[in-house]
Amino acid sequence: MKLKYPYRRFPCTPDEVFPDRHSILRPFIDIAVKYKNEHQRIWALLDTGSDWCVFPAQLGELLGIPIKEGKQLPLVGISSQGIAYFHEVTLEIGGWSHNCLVGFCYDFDTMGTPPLLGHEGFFDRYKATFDYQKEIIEIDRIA
Amino acid sequence: MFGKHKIFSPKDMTEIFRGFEGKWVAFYIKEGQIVVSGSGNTIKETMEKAREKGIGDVTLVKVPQESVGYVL
Repeated sequence: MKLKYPYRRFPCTPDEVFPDRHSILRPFIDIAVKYKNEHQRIWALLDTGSDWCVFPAQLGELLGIPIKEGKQLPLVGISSQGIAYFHEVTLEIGGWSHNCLVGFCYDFDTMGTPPLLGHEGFFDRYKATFDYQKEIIEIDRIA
Repeated sequence: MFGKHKIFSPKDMTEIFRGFEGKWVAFYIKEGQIVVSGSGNTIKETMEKAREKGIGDVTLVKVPQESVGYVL
């Protein structure tokens, strides 16, 4: 069974480059994150450019995760860098769930970066098909 | 499944999220419609506002900033 999610359309303001654009499509999907007895539903961005799943540190704090006790790895983005502290959590997508290591990054808090679902922890578990023209994302679990 | 999590498929969030650009938003579904129960610059602030309204079972979204492109 495949899960179907719509691309989400967010507001934006026309600018010099895209003067007719009033909204923008982005591949956010709704998931739940669980740590011990705490869980939280969020919208996370499917990011095929990300090696790992990385969430804002404040989300980990909400779940009671001792962020800085996690093992560290440096992150480098297009215009930023930071440190992610990794912890094992459970991610639920649709009715499927799995445990994986997720990085929690304080720099995401200051940069306004959304939760990212990357290769390790998401795309290694699920096949995602992006159909921008139909504004649909299909997700299937890899057997 | 955790709590009441299920796939929810609203597509066009432009009107619902307009005015919340750059902020965290907590929402829930009531009779098939999105209801924003809190917003703020941090998750903590957003959740506190939602809980003040007696609503703790929410979905959190970081609404992208206006006119800021994602190149992640």
